[in-house]
Amino acid sequence: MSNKIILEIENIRKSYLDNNVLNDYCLKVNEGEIIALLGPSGCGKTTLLRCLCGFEEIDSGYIKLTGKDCANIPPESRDVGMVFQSNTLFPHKNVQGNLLLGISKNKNNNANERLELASNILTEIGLEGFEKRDVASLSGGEARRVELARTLLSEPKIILLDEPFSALNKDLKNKLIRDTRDLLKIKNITAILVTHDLEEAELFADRIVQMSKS
Amino acid sequence: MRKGALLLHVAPTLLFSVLVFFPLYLGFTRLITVAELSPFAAIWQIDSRPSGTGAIAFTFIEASISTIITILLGIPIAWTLARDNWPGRIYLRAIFTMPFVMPSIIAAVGFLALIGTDGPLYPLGIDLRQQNGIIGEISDATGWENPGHFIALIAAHIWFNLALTIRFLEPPLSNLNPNIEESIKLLPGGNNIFSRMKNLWLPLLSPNIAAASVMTFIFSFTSFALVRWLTPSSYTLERLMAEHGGAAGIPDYGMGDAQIVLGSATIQLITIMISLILLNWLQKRNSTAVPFALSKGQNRQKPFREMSFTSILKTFYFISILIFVMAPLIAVFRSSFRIRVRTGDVGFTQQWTLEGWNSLSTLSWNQTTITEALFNSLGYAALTLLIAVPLGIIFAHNIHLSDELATNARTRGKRFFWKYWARGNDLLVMFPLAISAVLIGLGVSLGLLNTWPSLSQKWWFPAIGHILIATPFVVRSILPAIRSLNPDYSKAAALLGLGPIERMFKITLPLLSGPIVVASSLALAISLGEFGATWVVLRNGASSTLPVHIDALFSKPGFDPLVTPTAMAGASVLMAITLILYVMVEKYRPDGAGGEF
Repeated sequence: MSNKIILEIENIRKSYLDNNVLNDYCLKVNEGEIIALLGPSGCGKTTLLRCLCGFEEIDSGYIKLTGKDCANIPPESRDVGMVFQSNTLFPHKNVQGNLLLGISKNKNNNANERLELASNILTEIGLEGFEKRDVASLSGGEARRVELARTLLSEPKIILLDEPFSALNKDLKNKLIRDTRDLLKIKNITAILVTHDLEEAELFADRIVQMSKS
Repeated sequence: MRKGALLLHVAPTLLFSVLVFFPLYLGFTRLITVAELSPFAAIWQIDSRPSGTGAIAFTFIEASISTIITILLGIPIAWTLARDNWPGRIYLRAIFTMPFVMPSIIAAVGFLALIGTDGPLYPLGIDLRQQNGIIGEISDATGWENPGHFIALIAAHIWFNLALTIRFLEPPLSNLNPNIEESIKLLPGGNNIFSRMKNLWLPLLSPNIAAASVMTFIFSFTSFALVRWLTPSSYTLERLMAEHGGAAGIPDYGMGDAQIVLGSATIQLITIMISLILLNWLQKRNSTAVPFALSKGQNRQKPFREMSFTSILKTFYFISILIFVMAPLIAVFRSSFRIRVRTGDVGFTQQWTLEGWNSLSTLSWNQTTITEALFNSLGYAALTLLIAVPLGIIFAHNIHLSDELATNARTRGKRFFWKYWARGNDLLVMFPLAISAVLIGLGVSLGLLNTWPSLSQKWWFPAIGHILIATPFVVRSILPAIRSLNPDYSKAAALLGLGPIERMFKITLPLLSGPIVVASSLALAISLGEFGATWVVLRNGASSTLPVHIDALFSKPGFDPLVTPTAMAGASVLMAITLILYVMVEKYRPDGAGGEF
């Protein structure tokens, strides 16, 4: 983890009609840092993630990623990855097909290299040989791992995790949290986890940021 | 919103509005000029023509009676399909709902074959066509003219629209959480069947019943082929418009025709507008039924008990409806092998033959054979598929996106705009389905052809009506599927770096492949079977479609015995193609789809 600031959120506001969800919210995240946003339901955690991704426009303030203002950058060009709360593995593609969607074709890699990248990441997440598996046949934990792998393959500057462990049983959850953290640390990837579970936050994050209703 | 996205949002709406409203506007302007009357003054002229006398009352009466009986017969079928685990339940439902996709000309000639002298009813003394036997006695006793024709028309409308009741009612009945029914049984307000009906089933189902009723009423009100062939001496407003439409655009000569068409079109538009507003309101109320949905894995159907009294009653009812649904289709196929043969000086008998099938590519009418008409139909259907399906997908996507934009809008103004943009687009796209095929045909022939006569030389011209009529079916097939897609799929794809076009082709469209097959099959079936608009635009000729050609063959003087078996063979081919398309629709229809097409 370096001291270089990768994400800078300054005084952002977001409201839906009369409901102020984010009110002058500020946050700075260093490169390689893993933080957890902890707070009760409705405090704006998920809204903050959606603003970071570009799915929601902010009313005022700014979000800078690697020093660049994100205001007019569409989600697909922001270099942000996200693991959603719900399963977002595309059901019309198998595990390999899902992973290949995460690999950019702009990096001059040929088809064989892309397949190799997909296989390697599966080995890294402990799902070696799962390439041809139908995504519907994966267990909850396996599906989460594949989603994380797909996100990692897209080489984002920051990964956002929107309560991805909430539907898992405790033993599986703790193992997956540790494995995910280890992987992120090895690759020195910045991450923000949204959760309302203190134990999960402590296990996963370098720093916990408490959010409350504005 | 980016410029490209904005263009994709506005362009289909503008294009469709122009295609729907511009011909109608031109047509109405032409009619008002030729009729020299205002639309409302023209209403009073309908009764002044012999064919128009009693047409308004007849239209409302036949549509109302058709609706009431269809709903009454349909409710028990929907209930039993939803509640009992019949052997082959899925196939039974597919058969019961099949008539809705059948071309109206097939229903017309099927019922003609059933009620003709070679049909199964004649030997039983039921002669609905010539009205001898029991029907003649009813007519003599009551003074009711042509009761047989009216009965045949109502039966055909029921046959056609039974599917609507089943499609609207079966899903809420099968998805109703059993715990809700169990809990009401334990309360004073639900301890007998009548109180449960009053306090649970009727409040829950009445919006669906009403929506099915409105749709059945509209389709019966605007039916043309069935009225033309089954009640030859009675006119509905739709038939008046179609049969007087040819001369209605000619100044001076066509003044009377223009008045009758203008008056009929005015009543029809007002009635349909009221029905559509009612339907929209009912469907909004309908959405409150969703919380009753079953949770995943729960099963609503009870095992079918073969020996109970109610099971025997239900079996008898199902078999009766099964025979009713299949009979006209079997009659069409059977009639293609039957030919009239003279016996002695005055008599005729029917014999088995293959000549009808052998004459498919040789027997011509207006220089067109059935085979040529079939290829014309396939050409129009292909064009309809190519335009209506992408257009419908874009419309469905836009409606869904507008709903989402309304939900996430930051200001009340934006929320209001997107909400009504979505609703307006939804109504716009349903409009051609509601205003009737004949009215679309009149818009095209009186509006576009009178203004630009050279358009009639363009081979693609008749397909305009087909595209307009097929697009609502595409939207209604795709929209529920788009709404049920996990919205996070698209977001996840965006974060993987896929742009909007790439997302559309790599994620959204593959996920919608099933509903797209359904929509494409429906679009093909609708185009192949389209009758009213094509009949008005083309009448008959070298570019005639198969349904219009079959109609023309039946209109031919009956001296040539080959005409009927050949027309029936052509109808059998059309029926077979429609059946294949229907199988595709049923195979790829999403589980639990209902309330839509």
